[in-house]
Amino acid sequence: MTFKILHFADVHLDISFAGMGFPLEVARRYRESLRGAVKRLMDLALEEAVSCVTVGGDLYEQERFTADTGNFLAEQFTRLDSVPVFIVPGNHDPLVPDSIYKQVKWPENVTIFQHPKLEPYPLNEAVVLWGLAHPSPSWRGKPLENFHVPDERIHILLLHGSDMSNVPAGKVTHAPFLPEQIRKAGFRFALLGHYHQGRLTPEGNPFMAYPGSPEPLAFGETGLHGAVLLEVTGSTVQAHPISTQTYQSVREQVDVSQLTNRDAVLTKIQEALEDKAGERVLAQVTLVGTRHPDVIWDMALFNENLPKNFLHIFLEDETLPAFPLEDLKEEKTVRGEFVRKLLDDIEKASDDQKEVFKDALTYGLFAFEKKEIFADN
Amino acid sequence: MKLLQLNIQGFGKLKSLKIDFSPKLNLIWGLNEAGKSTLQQAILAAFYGFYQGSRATTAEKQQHLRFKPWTHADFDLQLVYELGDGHQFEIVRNFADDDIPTKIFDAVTGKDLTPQFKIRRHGNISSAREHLGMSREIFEATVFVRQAEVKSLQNNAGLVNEIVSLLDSGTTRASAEEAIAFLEGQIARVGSDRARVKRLPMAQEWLKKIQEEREMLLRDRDSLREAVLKKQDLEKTLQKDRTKLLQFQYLILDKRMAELAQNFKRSEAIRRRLKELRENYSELEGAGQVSDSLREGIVRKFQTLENQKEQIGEIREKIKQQQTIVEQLARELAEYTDMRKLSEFLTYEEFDRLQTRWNVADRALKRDQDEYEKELNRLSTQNLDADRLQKIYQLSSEETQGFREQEEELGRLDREIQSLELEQRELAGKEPFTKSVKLGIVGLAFLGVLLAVPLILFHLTATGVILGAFLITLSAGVSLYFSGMQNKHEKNRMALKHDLHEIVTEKMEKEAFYKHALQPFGVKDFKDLLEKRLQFESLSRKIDAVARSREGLAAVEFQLLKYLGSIDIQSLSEEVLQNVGAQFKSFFELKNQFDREKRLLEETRKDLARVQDRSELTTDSLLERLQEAGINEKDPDKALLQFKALVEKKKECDRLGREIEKLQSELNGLFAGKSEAELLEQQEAWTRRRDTLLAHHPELKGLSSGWSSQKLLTEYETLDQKRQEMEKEVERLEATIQTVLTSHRPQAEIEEELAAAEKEVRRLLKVRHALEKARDTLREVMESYHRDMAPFLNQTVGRGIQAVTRGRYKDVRIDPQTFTIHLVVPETGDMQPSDRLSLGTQEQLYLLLRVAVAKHLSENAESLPLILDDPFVHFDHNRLENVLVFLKQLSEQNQIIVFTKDRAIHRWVEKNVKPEDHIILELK
Repeated sequence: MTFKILHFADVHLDISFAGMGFPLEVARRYRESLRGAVKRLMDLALEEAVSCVTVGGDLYEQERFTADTGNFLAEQFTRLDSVPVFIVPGNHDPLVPDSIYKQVKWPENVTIFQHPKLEPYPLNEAVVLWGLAHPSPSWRGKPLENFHVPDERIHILLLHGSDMSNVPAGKVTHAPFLPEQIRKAGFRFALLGHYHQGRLTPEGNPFMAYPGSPEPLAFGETGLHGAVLLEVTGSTVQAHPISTQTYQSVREQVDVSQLTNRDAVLTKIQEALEDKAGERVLAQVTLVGTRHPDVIWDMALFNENLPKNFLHIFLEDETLPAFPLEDLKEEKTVRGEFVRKLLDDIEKASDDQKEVFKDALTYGLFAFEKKEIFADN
Repeated sequence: MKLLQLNIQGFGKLKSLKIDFSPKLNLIWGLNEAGKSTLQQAILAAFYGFYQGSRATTAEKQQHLRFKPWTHADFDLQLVYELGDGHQFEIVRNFADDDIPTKIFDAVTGKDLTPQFKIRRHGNISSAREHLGMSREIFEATVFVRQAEVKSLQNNAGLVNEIVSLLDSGTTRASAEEAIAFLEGQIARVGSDRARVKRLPMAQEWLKKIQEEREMLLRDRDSLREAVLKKQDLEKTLQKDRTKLLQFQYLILDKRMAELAQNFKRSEAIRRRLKELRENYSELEGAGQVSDSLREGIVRKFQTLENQKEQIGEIREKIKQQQTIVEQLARELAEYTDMRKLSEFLTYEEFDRLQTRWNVADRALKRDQDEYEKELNRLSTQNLDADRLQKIYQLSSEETQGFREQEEELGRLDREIQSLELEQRELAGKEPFTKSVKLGIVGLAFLGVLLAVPLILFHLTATGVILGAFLITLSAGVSLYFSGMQNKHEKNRMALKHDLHEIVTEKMEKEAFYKHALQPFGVKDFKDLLEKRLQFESLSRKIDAVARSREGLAAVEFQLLKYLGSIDIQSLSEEVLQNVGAQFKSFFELKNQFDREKRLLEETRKDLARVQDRSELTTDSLLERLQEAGINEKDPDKALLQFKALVEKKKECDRLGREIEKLQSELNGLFAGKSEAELLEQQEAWTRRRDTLLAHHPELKGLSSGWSSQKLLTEYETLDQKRQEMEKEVERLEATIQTVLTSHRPQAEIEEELAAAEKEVRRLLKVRHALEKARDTLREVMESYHRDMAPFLNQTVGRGIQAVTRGRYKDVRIDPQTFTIHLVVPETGDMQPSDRLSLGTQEQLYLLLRVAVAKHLSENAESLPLILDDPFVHFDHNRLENVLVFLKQLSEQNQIIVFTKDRAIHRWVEKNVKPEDHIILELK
């Protein structure tokens, strides 16, 4: 008989998208969709008639939670009835004194690991689940150090931690471990959480799995976003990735160098996004190249006239104004001197200052032509 | 640079046009639409082409197309020009081809110089840029003078603006100052902290608002956290307290039941005990008849009697001691027999006074005797006989006076003798002549005689005789005078000597007599006599003193011996008196003590009698009281024993009474007024409740406590009160937890809006910083540039104005800040601003400035031509003439090309400019 475990992690309910630059309404909708993901996961658990559900941490964000979030989760887990749910608190939902895990009246089928040390829960006679709780947001414990399972049963590790053999760029590590430590500790499989881009490792014959967040949480996140269904049949353990992702993101670059009017720019943007539209599609369009001097450059206008059939389009401007700087800097005029001085300043400036000085050069030259910086008056 | 030749095959409406330019003045005349503007554009296009950047702009394309000839295919031209260094170049352009193939050749050698230049698309070749040192824009702005530009010379501001704009930007449209003002405007649009409705402050306001919202949310989140933690703690405590309450409940029940059972047992015991006590009490009841006050009174009396007996004993003992002392003192006194006798006559104080007087007198006598002895000894050391002294002392006053007078007489004689002796010495000293004088006088006299004699003898003349006689007379006279003098002196001396002798003799006689008179007294003179008399006086006083002292002592001794004779003391001495005094003192002290002790003894005896009387009274009173209490014994001691026994009985009776009361009270209190049936019923109810509790909480079984049920109940109630309060607090906290965040938006939304606000503020700040940087850099550059520019312009314009006005004006001052121009007016020698000068002069200055600016803006400092496009249409005749004269002069240094439709100019040039110095091209 097959023992099925549905594993998911990193839902990050109540997450803030402050760094992504979403309009507020988009962020709200996206945030709400994470609850939808939880509902879909519970649906999936019921459909698959799993023997238990494991949650690999970061289920919600402790800094931003509300009682509503706790009640919502309790309600969703209640739907599973007697199917046990095992939760390991992660670095974003640590088991701190005011954690939701300690406040909400959880249904009987929910077990939350309480200690920062691996503890076993026998799932049946043959399968044992091990898990631990992060006690704080910055816990740096090494959970697998000097650990070995005590017997020959099938031991499954449920851990919110960092696979140090392949750390995503910019990710802060918590509960570090190496894949070989999992094997060495005697675990047959590790159901993990923390990395938002899911993967099963190693390919072909995995013994550890990050399910990824149910939906991408940053622009351009690739990889698996969903859950992992672990099947234990006898002594065989197999993992199957399941995608629950409903949101996509696309990135495009539009060169405006040859374009002589605003409409042409808008048209080119639309062309770049053709066939990629969708209510759940996030697009990032970067305008590059040198602006034609005839074009009245108005980013606000461009933003207003973007295609509407996307969840949101981020429009970035990396174009350069069309000034003949080579000629200007040779002039024996105040303007020429101004250009020379600023080019020199730009040369010597730090990175932060460079941007300001470049803009200063543009604005100064605009000023000679009495060209407004702000399109609206 | 000068244009040499322009050859147009086709350009706009111009076709097959060749112009050989004059290096000086060139007039291109034509009516409207003749092609003047086209020709200007052709010149521009020849140098710079139509396209400036790497990409053709629409405007450029339009410009290119605009000049494409409609009627023929040729659309090309060649331009030959000469630079200031003499090099000549030819540009060849074919505008018909979109690529505008362009070549540049050395006009003299024909060498293709095209590869030496940067070539971009559409004929964009850098030759003009490199040769002329400026861009097309600047070239057009500086070299070409349009109609409107000269028109703006109406005021100095217009003049300044034109020039400054050219310098600043190479166009006449925008000066650095205007650009700075524009930047200021843009900065103002961004806004500052004071301009609340501008972008930046509004964005900052927005940011602040969101930050405050977030702060409030975080504070509420902290409150939530606190409430959660507090609630958790309270719930933990509540859990423990509830368990404890259950325990208390069980214990209370258990304890109560045990207490009840115990009370039952206890009541039984009490009843038994009461019965016993009551039996005993009734036996002793009689003793209870004696009242407490009587009993206490009797006790007090006994106590008083006891005290009195004790007191009597003490007094008797004291009397005994005092008697012993008195007897002892009497015995001691008996030994002072003599002193007793003496005491019959006088007291010790009187004796003491006499003794003191005797001591004083005795010491005085001794002292006086000592002094007398000392005086005698002193006199004897001076060999002074006392008898003689006495004789001296006994002299009468007349005798004493006689000695005095004798003494005085002797003194007088002595003085007289001294006086005479003095006179004698003086006289001896007053010899009228000295020995030598005497000899001299004698000599002279002799000489006179010697002389006279011969004179008389040998000169028997009258003169001789007279003279001789005179000399003899003189000598005789002198001798006589001197001899007389000498005799007088001698006489005086002898008289004096005689007197002296007499007085001395008298003195000697009187002195001998005086000494003889003094001789019996042993003195040498009156003074000595007086001294000796005084000495005897002193001695005499001492003798008297001794006599008086002796008298005094005798008087005291007489008195003392009067008393001391009674004890056989006949003579006195200090020792005797001291001895007697000591004994007498001791006697009196002893007697006083004896008297004192005797008095004390008497008093003590009286005390004893008093106490004895009181004791009797007390005994009587006691016996009366005892009788009252039923004790008729007359002997107080026996009565006391009986009384004690009675008291004991009473005590026992009271004790029994109290115990009975206490037990009865306890019995009454054991069941709080309930009946036995009620109590049994209660016991059953408690048992049932306890069993129920155990059924639900079996862990309570076996629990016990040393506290009473009341104490347990008190503790239970206290804890229960605390539980209720905590439950209320938990409810309150729960309400807080549920509601504290409900007034806030989701934190994620706030953070997202905050990030957006921060981004916007950063963006606007960056814009503002960039604008400020642009403004500041531009200002700095402008000031520096203008400052550096002014001297060049001064010089260039100064030279120019000097040349064209043939030296009338030469000193030009251009303010680097404002670019206002000042000239030295030759009439006054003062500096005047140019706007006070004539329009003509202003125009000249303007055109010179244009030329100077063009030269300056040329990187190669090329002198460039001035191309005027009908700038004088609104000039009147005179003004026109003036400016044409100026242009003619200017053309000496700069090539001038004037485009006009004005016939008057045409005529003027023809008339006033040498043919070799100009060309006129008529466009038709």
